[in-house]
Amino acid sequence: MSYDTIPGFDNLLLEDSFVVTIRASPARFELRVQLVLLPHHPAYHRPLAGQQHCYVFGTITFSRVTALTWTGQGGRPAQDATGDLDWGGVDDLQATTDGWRLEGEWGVVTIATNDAPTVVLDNAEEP
Amino acid sequence: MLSLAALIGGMAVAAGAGTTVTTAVSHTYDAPTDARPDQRAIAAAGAGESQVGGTRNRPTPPLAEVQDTSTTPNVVVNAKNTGTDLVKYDADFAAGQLTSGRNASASQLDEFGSSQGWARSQSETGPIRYTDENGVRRLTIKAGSPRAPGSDFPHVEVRNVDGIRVDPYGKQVTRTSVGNHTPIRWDI
Repeated sequence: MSYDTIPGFDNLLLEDSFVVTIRASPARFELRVQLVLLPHHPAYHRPLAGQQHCYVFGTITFSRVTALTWTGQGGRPAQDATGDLDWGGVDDLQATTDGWRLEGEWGVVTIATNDAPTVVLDNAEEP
Repeated sequence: MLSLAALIGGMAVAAGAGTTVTTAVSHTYDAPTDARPDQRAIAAAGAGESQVGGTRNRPTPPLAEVQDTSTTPNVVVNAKNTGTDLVKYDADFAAGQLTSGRNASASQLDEFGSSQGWARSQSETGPIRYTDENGVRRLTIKAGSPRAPGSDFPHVEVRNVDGIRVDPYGKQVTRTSVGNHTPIRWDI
């Protein structure tokens, strides 16, 4: 199952979004992301001057995590002209038999959980 | 269509003539030995001339206070011809040359990354990435997503040797900027 069938994810473009923080804690895994919103997203706006897409910060959360593996760590983050660091996009987010699998230049994470991930935009209500 | 080899070759020539070449090759410059003949030998010969490198030179007489104080060994070493040494060109400059026309192809970039000795990686569904020896993801070659109107175009994201996002002209850019999304042709 691709991520665009997850409620709240259907009008996101994770591949061109930018992961800025990754946080793993007991029973919880979070990605802080500068998300690309597609035109049909309720919070969509025209791209700001000089920007490629409509970007909004948000948090993707995996809850009630029972197991987690994270391989492929150790790369360097990118830096941009403002000095901000990021870890590139989310290349893939797919359902597995017991949870989810995510991949990006920051590594590969497999998560065991019965819950679907949620995404909450800054200054927005949870869908 | 200009081949990649020709393109890169052209870039190497351009870089060699410009100011962006890194000085990876050290050269030995022996001019001090040639230019400062042993004054003691000159004095001993009494003729005021010396044989240096097969050419007869007439040296400037030394000042009185420095006579007999030279420490330059009396060894003749000819300057080396370094005209055929390879000069490594600047990869950032070359990447800019390749992408600034906004018409580079994915295969050209793929070949370029490989020619730099960078490590290629690609997941099943992800972009092609080239990572340099310092762990910097120098090139991210993306096919684009058909899900996204306006984002379904293939593009490349470039980082310089310091890991900073740059546009084809080497200018530092923000991650969300148009300059961080340089259009390419997808042919792989």
